[in-house]
Amino acid sequence: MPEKEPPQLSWDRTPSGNVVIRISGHWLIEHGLIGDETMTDMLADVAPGGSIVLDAQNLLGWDSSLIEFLIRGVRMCEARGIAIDRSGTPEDVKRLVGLALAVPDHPDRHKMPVAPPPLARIGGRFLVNLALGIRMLGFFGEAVLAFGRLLRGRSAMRGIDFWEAFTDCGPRALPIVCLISVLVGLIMAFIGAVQLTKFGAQVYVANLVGIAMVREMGALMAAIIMAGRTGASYAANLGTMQLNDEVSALRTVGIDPMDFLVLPRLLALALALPLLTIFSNLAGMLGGAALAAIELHIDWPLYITQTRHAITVTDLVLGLVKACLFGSIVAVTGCWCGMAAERHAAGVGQAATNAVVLTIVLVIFSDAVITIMTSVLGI
Amino acid sequence: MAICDFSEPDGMAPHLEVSHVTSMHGDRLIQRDLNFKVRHGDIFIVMGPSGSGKSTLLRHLIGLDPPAEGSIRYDGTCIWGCDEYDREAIMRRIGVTYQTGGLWTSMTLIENVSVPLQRYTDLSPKEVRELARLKLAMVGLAGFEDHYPSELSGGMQKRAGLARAIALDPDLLFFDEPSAGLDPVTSRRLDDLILALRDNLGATVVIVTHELASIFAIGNNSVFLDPESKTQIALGDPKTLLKECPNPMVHSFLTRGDEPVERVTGGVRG
Repeated sequence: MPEKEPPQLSWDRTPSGNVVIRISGHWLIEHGLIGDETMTDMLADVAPGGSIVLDAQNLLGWDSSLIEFLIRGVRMCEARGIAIDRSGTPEDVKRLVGLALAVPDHPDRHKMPVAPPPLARIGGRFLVNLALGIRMLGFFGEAVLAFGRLLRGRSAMRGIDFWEAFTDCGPRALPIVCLISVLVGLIMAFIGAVQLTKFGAQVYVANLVGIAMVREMGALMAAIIMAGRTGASYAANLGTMQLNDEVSALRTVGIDPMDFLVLPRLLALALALPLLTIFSNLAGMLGGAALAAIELHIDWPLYITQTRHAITVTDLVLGLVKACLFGSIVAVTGCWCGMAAERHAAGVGQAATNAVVLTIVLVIFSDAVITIMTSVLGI
Repeated sequence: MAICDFSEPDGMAPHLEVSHVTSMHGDRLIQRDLNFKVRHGDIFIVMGPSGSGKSTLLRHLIGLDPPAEGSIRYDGTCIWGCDEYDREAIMRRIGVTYQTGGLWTSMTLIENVSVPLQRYTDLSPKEVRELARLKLAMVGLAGFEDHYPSELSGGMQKRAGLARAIALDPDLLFFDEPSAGLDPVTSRRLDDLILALRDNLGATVVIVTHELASIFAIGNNSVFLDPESKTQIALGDPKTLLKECPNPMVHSFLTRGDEPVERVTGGVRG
């Protein structure tokens, strides 16, 4: 391929004060664009009231870089009140320039980057989140009302939807919950063993792991896993349904999306999470016992006896009640994020992310509140 | 600019009456002071360029979102903007077909069509299934009862959406952009189906569209929403509007810009 001649730009001032601009060579994007300084220099040579004539006789080839140059030139000429004669450019160049200039740019169309002062920004963010929080509280309330309708037998919820949601968040989540819980039990036993061995109290590893799992970690771990596994999927699911007018379609046939979409998921998780927690508790203790047997040489019967003495029915019930609450939080938050999703693809992704983050925050926050309450009440 | 009002009052009470409706999106005005009447048996077209607020108006009409101002009445019964309204009774009598079909993707077609029947009637599951099968057959989808929406083409999804919309024999049917995303032949068949259903069910039809072929083929009354002045600028039969309405916006819309009043040239300024 022959070497492309680089773009050439030169100008002469005629005696009458006009300027003739000669463009020649190959005007291609790979050679870059003409700088603003050159343009200003060029226009500075035009006498007041003068005009510009373009001469493109030696132009060999061109692409958008030439058009860009011409349009910028035309705009600058307009701003300075200089007439420009483009008749010397090729026909198709004229047409393209004409096309780009056909609809004039309008300052009203531009998005003005508004940067409020930092304090106003913080305040604005607070107000937006406060409004969101209030709407979310309203959503929780509606979920409770929907549950009330179900109890009175006036709900549009379908049993099959509940059952499908339940099998998804119950049996199918069991393996992952058990795996994580075994590891958590193992880790707690390991850390406990290091400390307790110093006092010769190794056998209390069983108490540590047992009470921690049953009161706190079983429900908490199961809830966090479900937030990532099921809460995010609810948000994406409902967000997409919103996007596809499926939610609107429900409302136009007179069905409350709360009954039809949220309630089955809420019931499924509120029921499945306590069940998962029981397995999580057992798996955690299994992990603890395994570590105790290997590291501390505490045999299984001793570990089991020690655990049975440590755990009370109160601990167990407290853990299960919390699990039920966490399950409701996971389901309602996931559904809320989905229903509040913005109606585009990125909005659905954002909804799934929000669901996980918000659920984990709410679960741990409510766990902290409950723990403080139980300790004050001496439970 | 004057409104082209070619609406023909027939002296009978209108099926759907929109008075002084204003829609807002947050602080942004979408449309103001819309006033029109849909007669019984009309195929009424809501038309206008993209972004003129057609779909927002539809959401007011079908009871999803309230308008910022104004009232909407069905046979005199209010759905929005009155002290006393009976939304549920109205929703029971209208059917809506959404732009994307709006089918519930987790259900088969027959389950989709069954849901409204289960919601509003006390029929036995077997009767519901029979009726749902009949509705699917009416839109030409016999045999697809147990397919999921994702297994169907776009045109079939729209027809399934229509089967669901007519599940309760509504007397007012709404369509949101029925021909969007369909090839001309499929879109034409859908138009024929809409006409056949109107004639056989005796329903009134309201269609939101900017598809000219459909507008002239089936519409006999219309309102034109203008995104610039943010209100209605034409009323009446689209064919009459094409011939008689001098408004350049309406005219160039109805002629696809073939005879524009103000031609955008590739001309050179300066």
